[in-house]
Amino acid sequence: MSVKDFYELLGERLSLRLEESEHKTLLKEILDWYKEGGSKQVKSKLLERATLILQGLSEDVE
Amino acid sequence: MSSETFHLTNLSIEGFRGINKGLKLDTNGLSTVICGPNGVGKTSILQAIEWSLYGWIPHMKGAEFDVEDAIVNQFHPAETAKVELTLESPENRVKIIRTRKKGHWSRRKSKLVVEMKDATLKGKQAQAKIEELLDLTEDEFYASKYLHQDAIREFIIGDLKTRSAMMDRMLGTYSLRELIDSLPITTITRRTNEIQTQLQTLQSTELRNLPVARAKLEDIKKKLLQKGIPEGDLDIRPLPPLLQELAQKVENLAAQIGVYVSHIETPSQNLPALQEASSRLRNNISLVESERFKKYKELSDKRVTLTSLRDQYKNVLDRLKSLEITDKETLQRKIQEIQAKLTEKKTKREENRDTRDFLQGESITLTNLQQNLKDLQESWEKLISEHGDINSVKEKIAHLDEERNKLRNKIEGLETYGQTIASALEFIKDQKPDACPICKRSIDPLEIADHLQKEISQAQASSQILELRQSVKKIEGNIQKLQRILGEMDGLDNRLKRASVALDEEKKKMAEKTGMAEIDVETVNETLRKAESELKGLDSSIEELTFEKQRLDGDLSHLNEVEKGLKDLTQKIRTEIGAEETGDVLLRELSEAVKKTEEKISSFDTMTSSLEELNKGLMRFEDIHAYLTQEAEVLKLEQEFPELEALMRELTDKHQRLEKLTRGLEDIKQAASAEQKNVVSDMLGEIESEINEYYSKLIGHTYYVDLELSLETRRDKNIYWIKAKGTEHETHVQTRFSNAQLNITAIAVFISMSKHLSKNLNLVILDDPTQSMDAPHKEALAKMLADESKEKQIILATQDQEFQEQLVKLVQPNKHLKVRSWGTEGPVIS
Repeated sequence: MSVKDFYELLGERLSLRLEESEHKTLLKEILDWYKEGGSKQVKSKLLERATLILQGLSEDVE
Repeated sequence: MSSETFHLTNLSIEGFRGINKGLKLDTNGLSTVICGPNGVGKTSILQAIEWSLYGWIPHMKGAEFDVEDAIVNQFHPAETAKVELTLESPENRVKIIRTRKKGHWSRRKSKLVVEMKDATLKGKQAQAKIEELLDLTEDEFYASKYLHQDAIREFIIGDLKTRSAMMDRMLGTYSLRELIDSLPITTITRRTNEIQTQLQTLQSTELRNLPVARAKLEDIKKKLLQKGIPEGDLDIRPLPPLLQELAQKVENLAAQIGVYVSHIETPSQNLPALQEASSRLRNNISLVESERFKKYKELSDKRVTLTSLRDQYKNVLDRLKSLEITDKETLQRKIQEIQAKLTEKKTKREENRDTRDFLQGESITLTNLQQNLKDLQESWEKLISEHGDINSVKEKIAHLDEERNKLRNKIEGLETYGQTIASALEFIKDQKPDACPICKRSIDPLEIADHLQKEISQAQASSQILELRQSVKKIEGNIQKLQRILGEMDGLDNRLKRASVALDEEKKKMAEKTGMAEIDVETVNETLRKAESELKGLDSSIEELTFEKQRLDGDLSHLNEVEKGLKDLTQKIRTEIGAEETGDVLLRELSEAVKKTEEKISSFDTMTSSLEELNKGLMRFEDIHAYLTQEAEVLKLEQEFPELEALMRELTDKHQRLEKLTRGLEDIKQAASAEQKNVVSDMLGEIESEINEYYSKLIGHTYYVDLELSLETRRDKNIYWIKAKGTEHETHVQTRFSNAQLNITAIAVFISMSKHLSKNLNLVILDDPTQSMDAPHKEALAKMLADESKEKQIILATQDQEFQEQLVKLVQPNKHLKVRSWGTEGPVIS
């Protein structure tokens, strides 16, 4: 199984367990970060998002 | 990610742990048994492998390893540790070189070089390359490649998190665990809560401030109206002149008391200026009140002092006046005079006492002597009257003596006659003469004898002799009686003479002592009575003088006391009122001072009402000021309120967005956790049977014959338990297994894990795995390892001779390294 396949499969399986579409979108983002830079990337990006919210800025800054 | 399979082919060690000089081990990728007694450096060889790969030996824990370098060999001349490890795969050959200079502790600090066919890497890149090639983290290496007894037991009974992560690695669900662990839900929740707290604070304080302030304003207004302050006065304009007026009054009072207060100018018509001025006025009033109280107290104390002094002084003067003599010298002279008289009288009294005592003695003596003389004279006269005088008695005695002599002669004649006849009778009887020898006439002897016999009988029995003897006896009795009387008379005469002499001598002595012409008992008694009378007079006189002296002594003492008190008091009064006078004049001045002090106190009393008025005025000012301040606060809050509302909206928005993010993450975490459980539940059975296969080969436990792995969610984390099962019961292995059984469990799990984790490094290292095992278990382990060695390279160190012989026989082909002993240059290889 290729790396891409693994994360896609994982995303699909987890998405099935989520009801809200916003949560599915968030999962997709998280898996992309995980694929990119592992758990550290996920943690860093999520904390960055929380900081943006606290600063009153948009969360879509990439 | 690499998928090559590496074997360890060469190992070169120098200056590391127990190895000083270079030691080379060429395994050629084969399983290797290192054997030898304890303490010869076997473990150092195995530790060199782990240190070269990860630069750290995790069992080196504790304070001692923080203060001493346990990596570099103590005897190495260059104080440098160097390990070269060669890993080979069919396609690749990687040489790992790790070095370290001796430091002050055993923590990570080493240089790493990785040499490959096409590249040489150093430091972090080199370390990352090792992990990439082997697909094995440090934790995984210790859990599946290097079976150190302590490490594997720690894995079994130690940290749940590490154990669970290992299990997920084995089961292929580590990504899900890592994904879950990477979600910073706790941090984001904490930040959400902080926003929530801010919102609550805003709602409970600042947003409530305006209505609260308005209510407070109304409350103040209501109270002021109740106090009688008209609504029209709730204005800032009359406040400056009102404060100025009050300030002026305070200054006037301060001047009266004699205290300095700061001058207050008319304040500006704004609340802070009025506040500042009212504070200063409050301070001034406090100062005046404090000073007034202080001075009032001083005056009151002074009044008490002066009044007390006045009363004492008056009392002392009265006492002085009450004394009869107020001149000390006159008093002392008078006392001396009385003392002289007293001394004289006492001397005289002593003399009189001596005279009286003498007379008393003499009176008794004289009386006795006279009585004695009288008694003797009476006895004398009685004897004279009875017996006549001495001469008469003597004559009677002489007469009686003469008469007695006559009678005695007569008796003697009669007795001689009788004896003569008896002699004649005896002669006659003897001689029987017939003639008288004298007259020669013839005689009849018998007749004569009869005749003589009759004559003797008549003479001897004659009553005449008896009568004569009676008369003699009687006369002798009379003589004795008269002689006794004569003796008495002589004695009495002597005694009379002596008594007379004694009386005369006593009288003479007394006459000499008293000068009395005539001495007798009567005159002596008369003189004695006079002496006693004089003594009584003296006693009375002495008593009177003593009383008088005591009275005068008392007066003198009293005078001294009064004078001393007067002196002290006068000094005190003079100091107190600054006067120079004494006596009544001083008393008048003192009374005057008391009066003046009371007048001053009275003036301070009137000041109290002025201060009360001032306080009332200031309170009215402060009430109006408080109202106006509150009014200004309400105005300010009304202006700020829209800003606060905007802030509330912003915070609410942030809070909602963070909550939304947290909910999403929680949802994803739940999904990942559920997915992990789902995947694991399918795979656990397979892993379990593999572990149990090894557990069975190693003869694990006689009752708990199967091991069971389970996954549970605990405190929001998925964790694994290892239990052992029997036919009816099950147990956590940590709670009931012996050390040997725990080791067997550990080896079973370890070998199973080594199969699943990192197939890239086809190597298993075991350090003394037979500890606590008996012969059957050792044999079972040797057989199992022989089987495993067919698929993977095993490097094993043991001190157990029997076990190593079994291994060398069963594991084929193999390399066999025998370490004989250890010295400062390192292990000695056979």
